Amino acid sequence: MSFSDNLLRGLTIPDALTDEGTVSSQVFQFKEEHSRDDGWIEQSINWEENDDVLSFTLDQIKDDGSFQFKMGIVRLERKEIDKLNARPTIKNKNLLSYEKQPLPDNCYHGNILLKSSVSKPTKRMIAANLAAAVSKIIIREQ
Amino acid sequence: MNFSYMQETDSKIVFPVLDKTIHPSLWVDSSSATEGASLKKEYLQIPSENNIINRAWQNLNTSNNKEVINEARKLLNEIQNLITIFKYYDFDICALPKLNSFFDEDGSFLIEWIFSNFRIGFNIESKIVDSSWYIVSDSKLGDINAYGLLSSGQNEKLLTWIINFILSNA
Repeated sequence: MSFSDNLLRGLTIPDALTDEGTVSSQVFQFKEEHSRDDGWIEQSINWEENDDVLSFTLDQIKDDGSFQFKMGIVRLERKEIDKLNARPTIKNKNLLSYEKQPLPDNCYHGNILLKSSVSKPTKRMIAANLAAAVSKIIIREQ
Repeated sequence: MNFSYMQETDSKIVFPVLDKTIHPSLWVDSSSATEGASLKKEYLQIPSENNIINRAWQNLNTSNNKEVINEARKLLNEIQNLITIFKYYDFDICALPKLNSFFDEDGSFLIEWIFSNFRIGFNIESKIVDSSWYIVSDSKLGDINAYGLLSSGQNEKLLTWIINFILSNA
């Protein structure tokens, strides 16, 4: 299976960006409620497979009609997840992965995956790594 | 045992030394002192313009979890105390950004110190013994991934090491 070079993660929380304009690691925290039976915790993203995915993602609407990603979105290069997986503290443990998971209303949907057995300190560190690796921030114009 | 600090001129590294070994001008005549001959950092006023913990401190007011709040306050005080002492000694401390912070959905309080090529985190977990710190960097600094556990109210050596890392790389 081939994956696009970039993925997009939506910004839903008010504190997603710091006052200095950097991405808070809050954006990439893995939540226990998203744990799956196969031993992974999932975190939703959209694969940027073509030029339309950016606007598609920004235009995603919730059930109540409001924008799903009120603050905007961030772009992450897939190679950053691969690099993270290759680091000495994570290597050979395959703690991180990613997948495509098309949905009826979103063919670009996928997930960043983290092994649910990972310790809390490691989870926090990985979230920080992902936030630090963001290549572009796209802020929604209010 | 009380420590003071010295700073190397070239590397800017700060290291602790036993009190009374430096800055004789700061010694208090023990015959007239009520507290002894050591610098009491608790009595140093935090300069408002240098208060890097203020934003994170204010953010704690949004939670009702007293245990997490108390632990976070201890840590924030430790950080600010060290910075204040270093500035009091006129150490070459670069302009440090303010701490960012947020409450995770599980009730933990996560503090981030974000720099251009690295970021430092302090995680006060709902289960306090799981509280931890990390340093992560980009490839320019060698893709650092370091982490460890925090020790309630006793993180001075760790924080000195972290601040030295900041001074060397910020």
